Amino acid sequence: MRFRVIRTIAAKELLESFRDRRTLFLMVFLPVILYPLLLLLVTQVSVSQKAKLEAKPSVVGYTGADENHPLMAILAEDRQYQLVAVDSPDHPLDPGDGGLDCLVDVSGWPAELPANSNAELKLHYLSIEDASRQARDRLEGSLSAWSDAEVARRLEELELSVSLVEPVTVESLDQSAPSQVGGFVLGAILPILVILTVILGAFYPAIDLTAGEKERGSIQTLYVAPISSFEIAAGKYLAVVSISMVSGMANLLSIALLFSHKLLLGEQMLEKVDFSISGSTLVVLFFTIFLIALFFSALLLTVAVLARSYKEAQNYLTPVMLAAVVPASVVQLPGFELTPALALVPAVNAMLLMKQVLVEGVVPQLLFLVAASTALYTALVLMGAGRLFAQEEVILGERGNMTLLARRSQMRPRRRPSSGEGLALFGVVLVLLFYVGSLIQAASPAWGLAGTLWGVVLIPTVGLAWYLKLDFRHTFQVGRPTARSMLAAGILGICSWSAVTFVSAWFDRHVLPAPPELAEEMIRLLSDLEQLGGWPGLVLLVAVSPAICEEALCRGFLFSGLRGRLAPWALVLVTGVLFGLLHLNLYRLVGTTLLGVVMGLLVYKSGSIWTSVLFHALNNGVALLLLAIAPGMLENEMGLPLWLVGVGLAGTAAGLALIARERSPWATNQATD
Amino acid sequence: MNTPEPATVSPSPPPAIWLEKVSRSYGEVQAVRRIGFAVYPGEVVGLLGPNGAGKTTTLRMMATLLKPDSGRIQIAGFDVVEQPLAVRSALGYETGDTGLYKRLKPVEFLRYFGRLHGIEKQALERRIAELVENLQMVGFTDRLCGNLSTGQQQRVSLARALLHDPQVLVLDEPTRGLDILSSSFVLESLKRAADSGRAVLFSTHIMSEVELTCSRVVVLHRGEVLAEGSISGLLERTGEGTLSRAFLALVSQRDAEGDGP
Repeated sequence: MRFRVIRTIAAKELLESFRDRRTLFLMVFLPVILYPLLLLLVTQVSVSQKAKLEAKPSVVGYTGADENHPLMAILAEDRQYQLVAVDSPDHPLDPGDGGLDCLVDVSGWPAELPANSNAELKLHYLSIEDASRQARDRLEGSLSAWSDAEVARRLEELELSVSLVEPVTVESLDQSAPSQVGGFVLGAILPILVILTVILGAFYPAIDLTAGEKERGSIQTLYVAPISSFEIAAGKYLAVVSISMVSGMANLLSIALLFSHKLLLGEQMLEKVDFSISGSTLVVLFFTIFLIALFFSALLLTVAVLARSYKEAQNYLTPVMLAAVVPASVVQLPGFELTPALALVPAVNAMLLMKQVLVEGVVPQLLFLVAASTALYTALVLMGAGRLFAQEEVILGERGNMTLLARRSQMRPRRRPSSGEGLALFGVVLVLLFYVGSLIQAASPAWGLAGTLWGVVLIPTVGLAWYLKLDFRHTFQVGRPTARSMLAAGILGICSWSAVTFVSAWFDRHVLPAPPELAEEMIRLLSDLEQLGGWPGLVLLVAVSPAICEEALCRGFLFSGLRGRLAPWALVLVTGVLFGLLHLNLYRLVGTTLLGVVMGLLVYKSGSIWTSVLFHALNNGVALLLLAIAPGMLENEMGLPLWLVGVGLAGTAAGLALIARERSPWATNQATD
Repeated sequence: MNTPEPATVSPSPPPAIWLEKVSRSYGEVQAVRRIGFAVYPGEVVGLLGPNGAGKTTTLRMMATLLKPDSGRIQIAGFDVVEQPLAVRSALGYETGDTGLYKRLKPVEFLRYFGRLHGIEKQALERRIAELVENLQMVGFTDRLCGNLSTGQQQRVSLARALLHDPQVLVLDEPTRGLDILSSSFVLESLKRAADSGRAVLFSTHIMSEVELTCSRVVVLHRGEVLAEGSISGLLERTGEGTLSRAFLALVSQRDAEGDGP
């Protein structure tokens, strides 16, 4: 790595980007001018709407009394109301435009109310209409004022003190400093806005510098210069990070300036809320933007380099961008605060850090944790990018097209599916699971589960392999494994529950606690299943069927499809995560992904799907057994004797050591395979 | 492998381009099968072959863009797999579908690659001025590359390949899409480069270009070297009068052999 070369590349990419109107638009116009203006507009419109609403009297219909009723007399004096007599409580409401905002039915309130009796008032309103809700709030205010006065009057008649019925008076005093209130509001808006700008800023450069250059053919020219692919990747990365960082910071600055002026909210509001951002907060926010830009630029660049053309890259990057907006909105939810565990979650950590800095200020340890973990993830993603930049297929853009849409008669027999076909199948199965699987399982747990596994997972997988005329031996890697790898699979299948439960329990405690209903539901499901077919049926359904059906998809079709495209570690990791996702359960994601990774490792090392089939069946079988012994397992509490856990962990280590010594049949000649 | 070093095999100066038993496949398709030939300094050699013969694959392997599955390739004495950076420093590579940066001006473009090649600032400016002069680019150095004509773009591209004064020039269809004036200008430039001691190899399927420019040809067909030698040698061997006829004769002869028993 020569910094001179990296700098030269980055400088050239920046110069070229600045001459591109699209980049300038996304970098300057959107964040500096458009977003703040929109924000200003939205706030002012909503403020003026609110003012307009408040100025208007509420139209209140009344029935069951005439205008001499004491309540009517009070309301008539109040200029907040405009009273209309109606003949029935069913008179329709039409809030807002001169119609009734709400209606009071006073028939339960006699005009002469005896001192010891209780009157009844029915208030009809529409919760979905602002004008109607406002009328209700006003009426409730007026009524409680009247009520208080009436109580005081009655007590006075009896010569008693008000404190008899009101032993305590509550006065709420907000101790939040105006700047904290401002920070709280900003904390809700800023992260999502800034994330969007940072990602949008990186979006087009990431495409232009990779897929764009491939499409224009200039990438070959670059690759025949005497520089390494890592230098090229680093130079391009530096350029993308710079652009996305500048857009993010420009956005932040322009919003900060806007909020510190009285333009936005008027004097009155500013007394209670202080939106100005202090210099030190700004520095930390800049740093956070830097972290977000570091991570997302690496991610977008890595994904974009896989695409052959501009258009293809847009298709790849759009879901990445949408996926990033989801955590940005989730961190807005109350209760989500930066904890040491969440500081380790990529992307989410920086967004939470931003929120925390605005509301509470900096916690140095957490800041450090976020910075360190982001740096680590960025380095990992960049290492992947560096490898991709070194791959000739990726650079020259020569790889197989998706043949999925052709007619079968036109297909040539092939050994294994392409990566695109593998991912497409996975996507289809995922959607089917979501719609069809959950539907039939709701109808009948046992038959639904069997139908899901065999019908929704296995049949599409095998069917597609047949349709594409794939070689089943290679597609499903049904070769014979060595005795040692089967032994390792057996040991791991029996023992790895220990490690998996351990990790899941930690995740449950520190990151995402599962609701207790989940465990109850699981226990109910299992007992339902058991009643239907007894233990043999349960084993067949929960242990054997998934081992066959899910493995055919994940370690068969998907695995062999991705094998040509990914480095071994990435292959194992990606298929593991996809296996986790297949379970459509966020709370079990970590555990299932971990199992998926172990199974991917087994298949990669042994070259045979039978290892993961054995592992999967044993693992699920053992889980059933343990549930029978200790139902607490489901709530992620061990509830098992410590020695058993120890044996499990030791077995896991032994199994992993055993499989690590296997030599993968694919390790040597990936090209000729 | 106990293949002797190229220097000991070749008659006089060591070859600038040297291929030995080079094979390369894409998945199940074998693009190039055990090909071998050499190009010496001062020569212009044409690489001929019908579409899909393996020309581009061969040239890309020389330029370190693709790795051979087996066999060896040396450029200016450097191995393309072992010493890719040294190869790229010694090599000027250029393709017909020119890879220019549209939003850079020709001089900025050349400066960029000059820096990547590690050329000293003053030497770089001198060299660029020289190329602008020699390749007749004076009229359009201030326009963005995206706004240049195809012929002008090709000159910029050629200037980029010559920028670091490489000993070896490898060009993939350098005259693709050019009119006769521009293409003869490009070919003349290649000839001049060879006269000043460089080795030049370029692919084409325009026979007249080869007859005008090349001292020798290598004919590729279906990933194998079908014939190699001087133009007169090929004409003699096939008993034909023109290079086009000789080429057709060679290709159809091989196809007949291939389809036979």
